[in-house]
Amino acid sequence: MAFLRILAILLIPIVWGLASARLIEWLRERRKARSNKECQP
Amino acid sequence: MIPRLLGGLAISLVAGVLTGLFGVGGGFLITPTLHILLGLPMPLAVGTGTLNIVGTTTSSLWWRRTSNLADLKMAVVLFGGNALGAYLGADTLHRLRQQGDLTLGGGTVAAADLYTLLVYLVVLSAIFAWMFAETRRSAGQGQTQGLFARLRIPPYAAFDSLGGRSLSIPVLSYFGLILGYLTGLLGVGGGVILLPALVYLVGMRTHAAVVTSSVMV
Repeated sequence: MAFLRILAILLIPIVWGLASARLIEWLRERRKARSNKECQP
Repeated sequence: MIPRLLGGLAISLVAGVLTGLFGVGGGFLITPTLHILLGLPMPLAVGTGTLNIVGTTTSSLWWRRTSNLADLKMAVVLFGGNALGAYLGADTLHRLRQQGDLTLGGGTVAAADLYTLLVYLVVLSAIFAWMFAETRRSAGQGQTQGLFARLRIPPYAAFDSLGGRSLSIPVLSYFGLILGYLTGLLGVGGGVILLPALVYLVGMRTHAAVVTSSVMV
């Protein structure tokens, strides 16, 4: 049980950090692509 | 009752001014002064200080809402470790409260009060010494790149506030965890540690660091 607790403490911050960074990058890319599409004639 | 109320208002006012000026929550000031000047037990001072920080930083952010300097990506990446660390810090404080009283020099003192004040002393002294040394070292060098830029542990993420430079996600995540732990244990919002860390460890510009620190707190 203690091992699982330590594993969770070590993994949760990294998983959160990676997932949130990639999500924000993906959202920005999507927004950029959408605005580029709107600018095209 | 009235002196305590007036004392609380004065402490909150000073903390509010510091928040607006430096982007720190003021917890590093509120918690020990509530304990030393107003006589609140340390665990109660920690909780009260943390609650007060919500008001001061919300107000500070409201006034800076148009500045567009906050690095939200940095704040969100750090948040995961921060939230978990705050839970672990609060859990440690709870365990310390269960230790009861210690006998010191013939008198008794609550173990939670003694240990948290000792950690306070060590952490704040270390930050002071570190900032003093960094300021002297980087005098005349302008913008510093930051220690985290040298720690190359993949995966990485690029940040706008650093001019598109990338930093290691594991390093940032564990930094958030340590910061959160101190928040939960000491009742500091993290700004007093986060602000110098964003400038000297992450390599962020001071104005961006102040606003990002407020968002994080």
